Amino acid sequence: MNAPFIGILTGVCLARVVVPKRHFVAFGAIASAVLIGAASLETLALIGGTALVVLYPIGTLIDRARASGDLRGSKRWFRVGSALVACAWILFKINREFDLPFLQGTSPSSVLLRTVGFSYFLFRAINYLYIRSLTSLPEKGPLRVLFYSLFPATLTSGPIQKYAEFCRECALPRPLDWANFSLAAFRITQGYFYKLCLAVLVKHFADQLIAHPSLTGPESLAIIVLFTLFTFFDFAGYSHIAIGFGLLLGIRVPENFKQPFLATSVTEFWRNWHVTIGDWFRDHVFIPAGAMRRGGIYAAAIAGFVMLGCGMWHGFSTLFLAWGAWHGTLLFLEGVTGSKPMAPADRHGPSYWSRILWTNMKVAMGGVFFLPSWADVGHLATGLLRWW
Amino acid sequence: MSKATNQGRSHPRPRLRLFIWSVMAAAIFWTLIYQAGKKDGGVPDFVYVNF
Repeated sequence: MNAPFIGILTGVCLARVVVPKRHFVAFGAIASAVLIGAASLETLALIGGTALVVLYPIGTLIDRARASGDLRGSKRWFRVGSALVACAWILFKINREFDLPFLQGTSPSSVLLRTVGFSYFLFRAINYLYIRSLTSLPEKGPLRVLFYSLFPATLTSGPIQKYAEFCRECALPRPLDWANFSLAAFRITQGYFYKLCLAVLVKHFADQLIAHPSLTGPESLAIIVLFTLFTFFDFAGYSHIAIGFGLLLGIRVPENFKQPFLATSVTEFWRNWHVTIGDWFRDHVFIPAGAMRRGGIYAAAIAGFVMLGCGMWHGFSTLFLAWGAWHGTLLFLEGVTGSKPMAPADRHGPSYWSRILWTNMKVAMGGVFFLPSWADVGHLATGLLRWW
Repeated sequence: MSKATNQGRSHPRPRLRLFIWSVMAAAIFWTLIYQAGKKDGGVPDFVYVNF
């Protein structure tokens, strides 16, 4: 975060105190555009432009079709809008991962490469279109969707706030009083403590261990544990910052982590780790696909495919594909075998802690696919076989 | 004194929160000093961008 950005952020927070509530959305949209523009003009142009040129017009068409009783038309426009944003995201990903020659060196390529947050924008954009196809939300103009799309606190890496929830927050923005300010300061400090102190510390130890030319079993296991902790401190730290930052801007951002390491099954782990992405998949994939209703092997297979898709969402590489396949298989097996999280009353004693340990081991083993290369994965796997 | 909450998540009571906040802020401060004082080090980037 550079000095001008912090300066603008402070100005925005102070100005918010005197802006009347009825102008909150307009103020928020303009302030977000200024903040994002100061950080990255390409991001402002791409995400703001998509919100104004694609999301808002298609949202209006969905609303009109639904208001006139044409539900099929409303669904059709929802699919068109979602496909357009998804195509833009695929182009963006392919260009980032593979540097396609036909895009390299051209203006769109360099713009795309300097853009941040489009992956998370995809989720918000689809949720916006989905909500508009479901219910009537009075839209006075494109400012609210622009504010939603550019909201700086969650732009780059979530948490993924639902549009209906965002509208409720806009209607009753959080005042910048002492209670909210101190809570925001606490969450932001906690976030930076996680990221700058704890994440850096565990990564330092992990890097030192992985540099050994010949790893032993305990060393490999320690690297896996440290790497899992690093991922948690980095991502949970980021989420704390986003929640605190959101509160400063008047919006309550949803929680993203709910004690995931105390989960007693991988399914429960994914309900408590990156909570908002799990909610998104439940609302936009599970329920529409009928997985909640049909259950059984069908639901387990959908859960497996969702994790595979989640892996590809992280990036188009075989490592992310393997990560998705690992978690997808675990969820599929839990779904097929009917393995359920332990009931609250049973959560004590050795069986409870052994379930927690077993779940964390399975999750941590998948984390090795987040290593930079297959050579690193192989290096670690070889070490795991060397216990004598 | 009531606990501040965010969607059911409880936060420490004000005095405890202030103490924890001070410890975390001090740790961040000394980490930054340590990083800046390293031979090839500098102040780490504060931007929390994955992409």
